Amino acid sequence: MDQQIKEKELSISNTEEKYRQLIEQAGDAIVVYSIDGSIHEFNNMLCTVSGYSRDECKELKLQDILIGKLIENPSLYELMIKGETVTLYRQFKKKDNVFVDMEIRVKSIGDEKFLAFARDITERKKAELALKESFEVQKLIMDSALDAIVCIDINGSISFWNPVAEKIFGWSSSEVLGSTISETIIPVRYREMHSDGMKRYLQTGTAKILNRTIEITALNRKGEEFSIDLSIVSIQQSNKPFFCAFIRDISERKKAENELRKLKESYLALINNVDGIVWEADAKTFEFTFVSENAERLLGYPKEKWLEKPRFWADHIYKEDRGWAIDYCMKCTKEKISHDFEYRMIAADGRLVWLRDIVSVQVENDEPVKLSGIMVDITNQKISEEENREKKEQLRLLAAYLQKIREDERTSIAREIHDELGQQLTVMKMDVSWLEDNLKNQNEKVLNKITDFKSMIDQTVSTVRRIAYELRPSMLDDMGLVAAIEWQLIEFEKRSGVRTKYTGIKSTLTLSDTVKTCLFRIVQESLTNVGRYAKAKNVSVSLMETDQQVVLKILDDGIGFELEKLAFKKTLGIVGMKERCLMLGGEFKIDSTQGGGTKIKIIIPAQVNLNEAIA
Amino acid sequence: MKVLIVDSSSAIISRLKELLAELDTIKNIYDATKCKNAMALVKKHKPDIVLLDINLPKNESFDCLSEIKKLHKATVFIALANRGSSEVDAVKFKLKGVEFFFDKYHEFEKIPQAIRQIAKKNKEM
Repeated sequence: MDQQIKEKELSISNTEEKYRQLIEQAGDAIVVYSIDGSIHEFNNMLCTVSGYSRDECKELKLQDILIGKLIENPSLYELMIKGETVTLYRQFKKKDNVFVDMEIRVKSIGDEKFLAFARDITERKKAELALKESFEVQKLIMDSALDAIVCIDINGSISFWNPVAEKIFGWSSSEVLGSTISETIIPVRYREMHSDGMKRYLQTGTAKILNRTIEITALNRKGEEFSIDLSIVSIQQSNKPFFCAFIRDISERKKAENELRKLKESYLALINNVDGIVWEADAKTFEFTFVSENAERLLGYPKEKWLEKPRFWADHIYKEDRGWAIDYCMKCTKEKISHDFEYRMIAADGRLVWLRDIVSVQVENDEPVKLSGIMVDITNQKISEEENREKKEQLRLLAAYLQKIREDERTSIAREIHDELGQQLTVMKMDVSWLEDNLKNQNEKVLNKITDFKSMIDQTVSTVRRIAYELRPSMLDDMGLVAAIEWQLIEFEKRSGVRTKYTGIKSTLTLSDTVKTCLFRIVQESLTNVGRYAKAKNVSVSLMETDQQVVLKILDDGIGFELEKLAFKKTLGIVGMKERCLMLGGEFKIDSTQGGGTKIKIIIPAQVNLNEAIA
Repeated sequence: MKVLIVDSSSAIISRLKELLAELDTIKNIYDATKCKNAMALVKKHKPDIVLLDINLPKNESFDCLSEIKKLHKATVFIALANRGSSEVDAVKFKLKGVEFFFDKYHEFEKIPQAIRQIAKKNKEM
């Protein structure tokens, strides 16, 4: 019996020892305490946790190491009394006044005693806090991102939805979390692509769409489709992959791009519509970097040919113009001045095209870098100009010819008047003379009448001679221009009292009749003007001749007139004088100042034979 | 004396004939309007005096003068002009051997006097 009791006591003692060891080895502090906080039993861990020694712990009350009241939460205390195990989170104060966070599980064990398991969760709490803080930081980042961030799991379920996502898609985070991304924001036609991509990733571990940015469209809450930039990354978290999509609403950008593109197109259309070749070239090499569509139309070479070779421009300039055109362009480019010049280029079919090239020089850092400009086809203009020139020349010759005919006509009329009428009047005079001789015995009245008759005939002859002379001064043909001019001056001086002087050549044998007539008529007209308006004291005429031209000058010291007044020009027959000169290819210059007299200068070049020219 | 009148106008020729009618020294008056005819008359009649219009058509007066002189050296010429005073003409014809040079219109009355002078000279010769 004793043996059995001893064995049982030993066994119990062994078991107790085991339990004691268990308790001592436990990672938690184990305490048995009573309601007043006094500690009855405890393990080593309590010493470790509290920092007190075994002996000190024996004397401790819970309140000594517990922060706050023994019973902070009455309702939890109620549960404890009822026999429930309650988990509390309190802080201990160690011996060295360091606080530790504790997780405590307490159970009532009757007899107003409690059994508590206390675990130091300081580290855990720190980790939890760090994690929480890290989460908070991440969330802040995700929330403040300017792009939408949407995360989905492998089933396509939305697990994260940041504020920007809320804004651009119109769903709030709470509405959309848990929904399938496919059914919310992916447009119908892309849904299959999305699920295929997911499948492929799950099979192969990669997908084409990952880790790059693509431009695509998405749906908002209203079902409207809009353009987005999309980048997707896959993230492995404890073997569970999830995907993060970074989304940017690019509808504004796309609109701007579209408008820019349209603008560019319309500018390009404008450039290509300009009726000329709009071009750009390098300022050093003259190689074309851009030509508009019309390049092909104008010269027949496709655009590409223009840009191919650096020497395209130089090589296709007509050889006669090549040298100076290139030199001119180089010079202006070097001096950085815009220039405008005309030259011919050879078209693909061999014909020559006249171009007007208007060039601007673009300068950077004070050096010419680019040339740009426009070439306009002026071939038709040039042809017109040439035709005009020819026509003008023909008109001039025609006018000169007509003038000659007029003068010839006047000459013949003059001659007829003078000779025929003159002759007849001579006969009449002779008859009257006869009457006079044979009527000597008549009365005075008859004799007087005859005298009057004679006188009338004399007047008539004078008039006839004067008219004939004015029509065509016979002197011009008989005695030459100089004699005619000198005679004119003498007569003028006699009539008007203005002193006259002639200087210059004595003979005009080399001048054609047309020129002589022209110069004579001008002297005639000028003297008439001097007589009528100038109130001059002196007038001088000079005539000089060289191989190339003859120069006539008429000067008076009269009151002059205002050159600008058109009325004067008409009265003075200046237009007529000018025309005569122009017809002969010459110049007519008149200079006059009020009170300063008048100067007329005429230059007639050596004449081409009129008849040969017209034929 | 024999006188030949060469003038393009027959009206003038008849008046001149009238003018010379009163001169008794003149036995015969011949007339022609063209040089050709004048030449023929000169050949036939060898006139002493020729009244020559220097404004014959086709400018034949000057040549006519030369031709007649060739035919009959002794002929005395009175040139008649109707173109106002033309110094050039006067000089030209005088150089060719024309003795008198008159403007038809203004000086026809001097013709008879000139002829008398010529007649006197002939007589003296």
